[in-house]
Amino acid sequence: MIEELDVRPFLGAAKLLHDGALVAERYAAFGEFIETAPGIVCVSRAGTAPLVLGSTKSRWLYRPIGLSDRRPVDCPRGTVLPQVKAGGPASARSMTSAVHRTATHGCCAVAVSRIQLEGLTRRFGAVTAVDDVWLDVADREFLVLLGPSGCGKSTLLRMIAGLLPPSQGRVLLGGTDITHVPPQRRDLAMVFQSYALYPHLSVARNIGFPLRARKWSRTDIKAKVAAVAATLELTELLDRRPKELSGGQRQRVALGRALVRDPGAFLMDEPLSNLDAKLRATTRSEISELHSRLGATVVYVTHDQVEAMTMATRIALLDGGRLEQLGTPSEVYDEPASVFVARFLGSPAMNIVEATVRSACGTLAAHGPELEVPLGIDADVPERPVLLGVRPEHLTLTTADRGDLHAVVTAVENLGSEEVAHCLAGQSRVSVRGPRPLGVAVGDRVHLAAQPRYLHLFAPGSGRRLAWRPASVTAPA
Amino acid sequence: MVSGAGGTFVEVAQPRPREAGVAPASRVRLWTRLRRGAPPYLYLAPALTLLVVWTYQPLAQTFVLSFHSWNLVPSTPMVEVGTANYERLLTAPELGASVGRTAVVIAGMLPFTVLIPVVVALLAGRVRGRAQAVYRGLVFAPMLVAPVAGAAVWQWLLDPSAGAVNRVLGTGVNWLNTTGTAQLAIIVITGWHVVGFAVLVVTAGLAGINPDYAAAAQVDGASRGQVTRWVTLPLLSPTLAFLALMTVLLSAQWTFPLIDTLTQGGPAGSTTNLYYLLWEYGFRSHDAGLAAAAGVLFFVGFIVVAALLTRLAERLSHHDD
Ligand SMILES: Nc1ncnc2c1ncn2[C@@H]1O[C@H](COP(=O)(O)OP(=O)(O)OP(=O)(O)O)[C@@H](O)[C@H]1O
Ligand SMILES: [Mg+2]
Repeated sequence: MIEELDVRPFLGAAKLLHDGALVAERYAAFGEFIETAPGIVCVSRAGTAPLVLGSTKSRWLYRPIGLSDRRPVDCPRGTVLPQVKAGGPASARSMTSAVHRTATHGCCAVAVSRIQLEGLTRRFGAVTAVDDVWLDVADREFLVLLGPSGCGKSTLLRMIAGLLPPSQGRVLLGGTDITHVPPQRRDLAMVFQSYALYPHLSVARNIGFPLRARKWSRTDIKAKVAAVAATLELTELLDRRPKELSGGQRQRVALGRALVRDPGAFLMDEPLSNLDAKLRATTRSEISELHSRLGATVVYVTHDQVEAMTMATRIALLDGGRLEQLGTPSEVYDEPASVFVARFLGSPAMNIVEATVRSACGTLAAHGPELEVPLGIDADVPERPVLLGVRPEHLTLTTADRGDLHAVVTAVENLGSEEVAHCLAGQSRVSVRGPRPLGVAVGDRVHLAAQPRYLHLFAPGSGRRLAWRPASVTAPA
Repeated sequence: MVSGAGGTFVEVAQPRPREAGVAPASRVRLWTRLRRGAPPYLYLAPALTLLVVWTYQPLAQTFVLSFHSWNLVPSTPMVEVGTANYERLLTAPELGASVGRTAVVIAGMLPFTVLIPVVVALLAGRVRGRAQAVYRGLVFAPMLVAPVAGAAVWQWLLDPSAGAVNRVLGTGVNWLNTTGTAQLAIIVITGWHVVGFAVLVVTAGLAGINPDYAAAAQVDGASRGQVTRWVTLPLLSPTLAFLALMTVLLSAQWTFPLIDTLTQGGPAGSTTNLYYLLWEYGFRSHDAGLAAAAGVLFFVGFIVVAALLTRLAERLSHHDD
């Protein structure tokens, strides 16, 4: 009996999509596709009882949820979906159309859109654009790929989208290996940096394009496009051509084209880079809001640290194709894993000064020309060279006797609310940021101090962060 | 309230240059202006001269000639005849027939200049690396063969008794001397000749389309065929319109050397299109006035057709920006 079956394992493994081919594939990954009795369609896994997917009694088993909220609704064992359509879904194709119909009628299934990258590498001749990247993007996460121009962000995103075959490594979507699945059959939507709006199609046809490719009926497409256009305030522009739109409007159309199909995950390649600063700020919060409303997985590429810090649940920092650090915005800002990360985030960049760590009187301090900074660590270690990092906002002006760092001001910048003083300490450039006025002038000799908790140490060769591990008192014997 | 020294609020003035007034535009002397403006025209001069000497002047002379009677012999004088040449031309029975044949040639050429090149260029786009260059080279090679040389080879291939074509097809058709097949042979040979050029044009057109569109369409779920039909071909339409325009305007010219070497307009006039008719009037019948009238008439006719087609092409094409 249908009612006796537990649908939950099936839900964990598959997502009901609009796309027939992928549905079939997901089911296939879960088990074999069989018709046990006339009209009863099942998938069976080795060693388990067949799992009923549907019956000719025109009912489907899956977890119904509202379109506005993708979170699964808790439902009892063997919940039966509201009426779909009579007729036996005895093949993948008819099953797809049934699923599609349900989707258009306001239900949609649980997305399992975790994206895993396993050792992803891409070489262009001698250039390694992406170098052995391992990433695990959780379902509903907003992951920002951040890095300077040419670090391989777009290449990585195109590999996830399936537009570029990786030289090595695997891409997994919802646990399924999709490395060799063509882009058409991946459940991903992409917003291009150039927007790539089809110039010969109206806004409405641009947004409806993914649905047209999925063979939706004209009326269904129209309704869905109208709904999406309304949320993005594009209703008045539906008949225009892309070239008749402003940059911000184009950006919204590109977003609409991605939203219209309820994809498993969104891939965005610098979607805001063509907008002016003000529009960028508003669109940023709109996208963030959209993300929390849809609960969709987003992989977002940018080289703008403000976008990364404000939007991301986690940031992946790339440099020269390599993953430098992965963490929440506060983690990467507060504990940068390398000099590159430290200097990439924050403005002005973190001050990095060559120094030597020495212990004196049982405590550690960093020494250098014009420099003697206590690290606040009570220990006795052999002397070693380090790179000492401290953010400009963590340096404070103080008196000569309490200063750890002595420098001469070379320039003062006015940022409006704050001021930045650029100084020279020995051979090193150091900047200080603080509320305006800082009260210093070019040529002044200043004395700077920083609290030990704001100091960062990096290894001079590799540039990696040096973390202090106190010798464990309860070391295993 | 403290009643201290009096005061008043003053609005902060907008920044303005201290000396109000606009600096007078300095008048550039005529000679300087000429010297600055002349170089572009100087660069154009050689091309313009050639255009005038070889195109506009003959055009004007043809126009004048079309109102005269002359037999091309320099010693005989031209006799002014008014519009008699035009009257003769428009009442000649062969004119209508040759217009029809020209239309057939154009229709027959379109597959070679539009259809086949699109298919070949799209397929060539899927071939990667060096194979692609070889493939394109093979298609383009016929273009490099001189038309008359190509015609000689084809004459040999189409020979009714020993030709390779008949042997392969197992037929005994006298291709070039049968009214039904001569036109077909001319079309196929011309098509073979220009197809490489058309492929090159289409390839260039395809290369000019931002690959992001196809990538976006793929991610949007369009299959390869759908990407071609819904994105690539519409974006290629300006190129295709250009090729169609070229075909309409130039087909009759492209076929001329082949007709002249292979059929001389025959058999029974079945390959005499507009251009060949014009040539026959002028250089067979030595009726320069009639030929000039035909030339003027065709010129005007093609201008009208070209204008219509350009208008249509503009309507079709969506500028990709
Ligand atoms: N098709 C290609 N052929 C050769 N090299 C390429 C190709 N695509 C990218 N590269 C190289 O790979 C590296 C990474 O390029 P990618 O476009 O991923 O950078 P990016 O991080 O997106 O930069 P940006 O922020 O400027 O968009 C660059 O060094 C680039 O030159
Ligand atoms: Mg990029």
